[in-house]
Amino acid sequence: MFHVLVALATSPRHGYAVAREVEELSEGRIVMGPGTLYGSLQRMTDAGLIQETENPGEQGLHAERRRYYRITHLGRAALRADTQRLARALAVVQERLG
Amino acid sequence: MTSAPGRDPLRSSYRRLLALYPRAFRMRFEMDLLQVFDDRRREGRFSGRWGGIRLLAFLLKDFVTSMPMARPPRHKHGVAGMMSNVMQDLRQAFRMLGRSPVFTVTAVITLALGIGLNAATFSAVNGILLRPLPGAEEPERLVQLYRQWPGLDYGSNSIPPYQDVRDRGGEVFENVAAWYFAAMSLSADGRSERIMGLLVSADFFQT
Repeated sequence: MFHVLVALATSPRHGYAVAREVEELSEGRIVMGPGTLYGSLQRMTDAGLIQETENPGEQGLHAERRRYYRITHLGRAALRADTQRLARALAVVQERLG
Repeated sequence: MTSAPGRDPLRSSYRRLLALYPRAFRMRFEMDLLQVFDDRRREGRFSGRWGGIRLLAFLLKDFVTSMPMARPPRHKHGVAGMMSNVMQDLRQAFRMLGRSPVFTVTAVITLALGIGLNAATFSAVNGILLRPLPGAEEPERLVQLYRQWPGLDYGSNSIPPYQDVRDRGGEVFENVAAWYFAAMSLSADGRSERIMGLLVSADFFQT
């Protein structure tokens, strides 16, 4: 969920672009299959974190048939809160490791 | 070479697999799922025969992982929704238990053991950590000093360090006491028994 929100933080994307961005962000550790991708997108849409949106003007392959998503205000707030939580956890670990 | 989407047997198989998803999810996302399949199929790692096998394994794993996510959420909002979900879970649990008595007996025994173990653990924790030390007026002011040894964080002290702390620690500690576990004999009515006792310094009870 965190990676999906990061992937959508800058601009709307279609599902496959989200999956590719998540893979890049996670340095190849998270490879989302079609079901996992749309299962996550559905849940995040239901939770109000993201929403479907119009094609932002992409001309790529099958661009007109694709479903695009964008992050909502709630999603942005959740991402910010999660990032702060991770930053705090990181600071604690770094302090303890010296 | 990768076959055209329409003639790719892997694509046809994946399309058939999609029929196993919940209807609402399939109706909403079938075209998107196939679109992502086509996108993945065009990737170098998933193209060709071996790539197809890799993709098949990837899709099967994805299918199993995503099935619970594809189900419509059962949770309703608010306390009423939460209670309704709890009641639904309880009903389902009792139905399952009623159907398999062996499982029920196993579950009850497991629960009994679990509860017993928890109670025993709590008694020990309560006695050792939570309940105030018997005989100590201000247990919150009591501290225990350990000595660090290589590989041992909480080692015991020998007499010289104890004497050092006792004689020079006046500004920090009001009193300092030491003790030592020792095996002893206890005799009563002509019988003697081996017991563990404590040898304590003179100011032990004062501390």
